[in-house]
Amino acid sequence: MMRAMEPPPEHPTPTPRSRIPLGRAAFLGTVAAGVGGIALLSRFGGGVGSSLASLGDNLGVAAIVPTGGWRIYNVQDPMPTFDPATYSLTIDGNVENPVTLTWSDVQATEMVTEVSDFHCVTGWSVYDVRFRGIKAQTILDLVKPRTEAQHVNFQSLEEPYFDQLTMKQFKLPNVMLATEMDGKPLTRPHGAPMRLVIPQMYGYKGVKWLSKITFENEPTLGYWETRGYDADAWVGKDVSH
Amino acid sequence: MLAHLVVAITFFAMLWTGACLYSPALAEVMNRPSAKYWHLVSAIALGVGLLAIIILRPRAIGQVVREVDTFDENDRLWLRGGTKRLFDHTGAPEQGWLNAGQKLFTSVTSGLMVVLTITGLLLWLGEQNTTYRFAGTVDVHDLATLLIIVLTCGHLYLSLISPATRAATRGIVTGSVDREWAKQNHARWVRDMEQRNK
Repeated sequence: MMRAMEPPPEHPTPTPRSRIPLGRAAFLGTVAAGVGGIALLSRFGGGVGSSLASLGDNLGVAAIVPTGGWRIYNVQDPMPTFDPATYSLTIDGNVENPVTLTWSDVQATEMVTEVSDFHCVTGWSVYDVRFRGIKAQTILDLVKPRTEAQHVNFQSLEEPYFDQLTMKQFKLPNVMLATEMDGKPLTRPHGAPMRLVIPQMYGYKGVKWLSKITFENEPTLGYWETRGYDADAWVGKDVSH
Repeated sequence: MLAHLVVAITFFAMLWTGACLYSPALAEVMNRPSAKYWHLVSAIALGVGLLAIIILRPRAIGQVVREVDTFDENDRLWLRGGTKRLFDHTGAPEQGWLNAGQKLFTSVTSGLMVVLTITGLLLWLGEQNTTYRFAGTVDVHDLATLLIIVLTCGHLYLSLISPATRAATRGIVTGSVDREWAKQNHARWVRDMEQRNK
């Protein structure tokens, strides 16, 4: 059997007797680890995704698939394309001074930079995101909503995506219409040129590719809310109902 | 083997569409709705494909499953050799049709495929019904993907590049391998075959 030149096997046992079902043990062990992992991470998790992302970045995965911890969600193919020449943001509804801002009008509006965390309802988060944009109060001062208008609708260029906040929620700290993220203009996947940021709520409330804001007297359900998601998407609260 | 081809094609289809879902840099190359559609189509194709092969060739698949499942004394000694066994089979205990490393790889990747199916199903269900939404599902889906990528890189290295083992690839493509190579690397299998053919 063996050629003379080869060293003898360490322990040749041509007719092994004991047979161990190690294959199914490895298979079932892997499945069990996965299912246990879902339970454990759901309970004590948080940050595993972001540490995984930073591990990936350190291993050079970032060069192939850079993420920065973000996932991109959109509901219609293809994503809206931002054209500075034709873009406009209309703000109307039950307000004293409805406006339509061109892209240069938007850029000329007072902006601030604020750092906040971003949480997605599917379980991933990005921490310490530096957003620059227009504060809610600046918009309110500009269009002057009437007192009965207690609901704010946000329409995306990505039809039919749309969501809404109450006036009280719109006035929360760190809420803004962001045009920059981490020092750079918003990219197309992140909702260029402008998206709503409301760190207190899950990301599906933060309408991307923002095209229209309407102040209404009555609430309307948003895109995901007509599909069973909670209208008040407070981070950390059980979103089932 | 047909099953291997089905797994390989759908694996790379899911890897590509999954990367488009995962990375903002690729999100524009393939948008979420189409990436998600083809990701799911590939997963269903894998499931249906494997099921069809199991129904059509139950004996052949059963044989493979038994081979993968059962480790004998030689397999244990083979594993005790550690990672050097992956690259050098000289002096290793005689191995059957699959060596212990190949068996372990098959078991673990199959387990990971089940984990990916479960988490993928939960992600899909969670999007339409909040009852199925768990915070850890995405992380487990990602971790399992990372593991299966690492294992598949090793698998591809050993089957295409490593001189000690790449001769086996001929077996995957044409169905036969060099007898001398088989005698050195899968001696027990050769002996079993020779005895059966007597």
